[in-house]
Amino acid sequence: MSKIIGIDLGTTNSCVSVMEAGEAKVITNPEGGRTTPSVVAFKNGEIQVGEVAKRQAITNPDTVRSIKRLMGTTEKVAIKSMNKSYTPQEISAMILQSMKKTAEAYLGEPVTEAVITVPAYFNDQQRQATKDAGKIAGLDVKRIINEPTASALAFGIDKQQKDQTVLVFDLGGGTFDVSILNLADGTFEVLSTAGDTHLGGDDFDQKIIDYLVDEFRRENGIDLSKDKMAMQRLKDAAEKAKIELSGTMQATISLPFISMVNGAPVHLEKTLTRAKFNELTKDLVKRCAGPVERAMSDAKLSASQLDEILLVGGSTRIPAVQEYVKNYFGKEPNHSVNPDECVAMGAAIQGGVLKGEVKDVLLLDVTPLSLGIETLGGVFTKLIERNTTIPTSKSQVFSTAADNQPAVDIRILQGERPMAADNKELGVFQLADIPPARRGVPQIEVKFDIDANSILTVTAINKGTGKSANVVIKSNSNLSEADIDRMVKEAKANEEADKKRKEEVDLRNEADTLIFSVRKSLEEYGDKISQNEKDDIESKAKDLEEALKQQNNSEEIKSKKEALEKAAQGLAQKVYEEEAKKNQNNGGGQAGNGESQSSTDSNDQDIFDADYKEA
Amino acid sequence: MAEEKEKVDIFDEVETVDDSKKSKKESKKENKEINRLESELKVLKEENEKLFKEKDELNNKYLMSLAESKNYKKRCDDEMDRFYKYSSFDICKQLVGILDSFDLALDKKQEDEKMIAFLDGFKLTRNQIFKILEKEGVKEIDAENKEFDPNYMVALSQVEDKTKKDQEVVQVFMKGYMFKDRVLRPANVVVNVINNSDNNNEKENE
Repeated sequence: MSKIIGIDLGTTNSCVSVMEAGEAKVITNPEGGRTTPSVVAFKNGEIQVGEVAKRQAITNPDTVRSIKRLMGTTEKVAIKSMNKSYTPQEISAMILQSMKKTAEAYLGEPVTEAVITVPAYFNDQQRQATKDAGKIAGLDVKRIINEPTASALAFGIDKQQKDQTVLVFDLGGGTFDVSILNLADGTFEVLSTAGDTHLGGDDFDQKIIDYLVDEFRRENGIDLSKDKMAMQRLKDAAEKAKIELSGTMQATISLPFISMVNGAPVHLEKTLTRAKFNELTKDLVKRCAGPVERAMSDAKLSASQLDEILLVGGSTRIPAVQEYVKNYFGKEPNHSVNPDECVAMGAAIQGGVLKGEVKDVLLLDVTPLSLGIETLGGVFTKLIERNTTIPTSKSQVFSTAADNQPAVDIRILQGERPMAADNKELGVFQLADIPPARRGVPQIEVKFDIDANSILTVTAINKGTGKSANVVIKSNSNLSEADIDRMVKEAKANEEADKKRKEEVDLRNEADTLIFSVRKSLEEYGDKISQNEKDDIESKAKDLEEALKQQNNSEEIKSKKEALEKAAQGLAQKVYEEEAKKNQNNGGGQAGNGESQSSTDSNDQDIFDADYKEA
Repeated sequence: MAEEKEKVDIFDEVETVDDSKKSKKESKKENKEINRLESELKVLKEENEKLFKEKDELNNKYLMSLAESKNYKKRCDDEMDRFYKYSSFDICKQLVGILDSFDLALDKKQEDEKMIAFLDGFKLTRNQIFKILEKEGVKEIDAENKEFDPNYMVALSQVEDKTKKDQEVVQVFMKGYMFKDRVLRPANVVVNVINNSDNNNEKENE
């Protein structure tokens, strides 16, 4: 199915994204990068785009960067080696073509349609130039949308079903853009824009580099700026440190053998604290204030009138920047979406809306908590995991716990704790008239059906007799988000203790089943083993039974269980031999029917409690 | 006989007259009923057509959804394969940066015997680290004296040396490495760029 891709055609970097299974997914280029440098290089008649182009920037005069700054103008770019001039649209088209190819490689099919983003302040010529660039690249540009609008889509601003006013704070690699948007009746309107075309993450890197060079000069009398290799290493290290400082309070910059003095190596080892970094970059953060204030006054709004502040652009990860935004607006900014990728994601979402995909998917709900039933030992057996998209249907086969058990209680529960008692009961019903049979033999299929309206129908069918019973539970969303959060948190907090309890119960169940199956095997094949063995097995079985009755601790039960398993080894061997013979005679491959079910089967199957309420 | 026939005829006529009187009333009713049924039929036919169309649309949507599911799964599988293939890429990249420090220490010529001995030990250590990286699929990029290729190298600066070829790599600042079929870290090099236009006019030969 042909998809409309979303492209963020940036000044320094571009990004391409596509809707997949209802979500915007960023597509990785062949070099493994999630963004591609917006650089084009011409060499020997070849056109190269991206990282490869960037690498030759210093030695190849025919390398074109930041072409976005020329879009909408009639200025052409002269390429000496080709003796040709290109328009900005043609250069941009080369970048777009590269993004198109990346998308096609991922999707495995041709891509002919796209949504491309532009800055909110782009005029008509600039927008038309962008559309033309798309056409030259072989793309039918379905829509040109504003970058802040795309970001707002990625943040889901339009999903909240109410009018909103948001400020988009976009601090990228080289430029800073502030836009104030108003969402009303499903349409985004740009109220104001402001920015600084030369303020970005690169400036923050430079502050660290300058600081290191100054310190090194002070401490060692060496000027590293003259050494190209040292500067390259410094640049990489500075960027790394900046990124590290977004997560930690200090970063170590370590560059052994950065220089030589009188034949002896000199090393650079410096610790940069976040406080120091904030100090170094104070004036950069201050420069953000100008555009913000301009945008606010142009839109005639005060901070309290803004519903949200969206953080876009990698540099908004810097703690000092986030602090500034928080303090200025008096509320926490929204950084729930990847700031480097949200513009492309928003473009992809717009593409999905145009294709009609998004509407349907947005209507799908999820079940907020896991659903299941109570099984032997008071255990909660999940049938549907939380956050499963609905409508959905899941079934599992269970069996009885006692011989001749005539009915089973289906207790429907909701929650995340492994023990039934700790979860919420949604309903209970009974499936009766189970014909007498040994425990573990009846096949009771329990089916959970949730429809698109969250209505749950639980059905129990006796596969042998065809008799069934069911119950319909309306709205299991009586729980608020707070309740759901609480239940999930409680499950996490009690994880250890719950795990232990469940293990104990599982152990008991296993021991119980073992006794039963060993005794059953004794009945069938007891004559194939010696009397001594038989007596040994029986006595070990009795031991284990006692241990279970007396509610002994797990260690004791475990050791008695192992003792019984060991004692019954010889018997188990006989059982396998006999079963193998039987299967051969039956022409093999027959699933165990009721009678010839081997002792291991009933261990795997979940079992209903033998207790049931009289109907 | 003829009389009887006539009688019958008369009876018939009478009946017929009654019939037509009866029919006029009834046929008005019948006509009304027929009209009603006809318009109902028309409505139902239209609805039916609409429903058929809707069914086809929904069926199409359903099939597309199924197909998309399948395609999506395939893309996920491919992505998983890629993820697995390049799973140690990042850590190898970091380690290769450490090798740089070793290389910087080891490439200076030493006079002192003790120093040489120490550095030999570090050389062996460096090789040990590289062996581990090699096992993961890391390979050195051969750049020295080769033609500058931006697919594998990045130019840090340029020089002009007429004794060497244009676009030749005259110095490798930092070694480049491949990780399987991807560039792990391009070689950081100095490129020889000869300006042909200046050649004829200004520069003296070295």
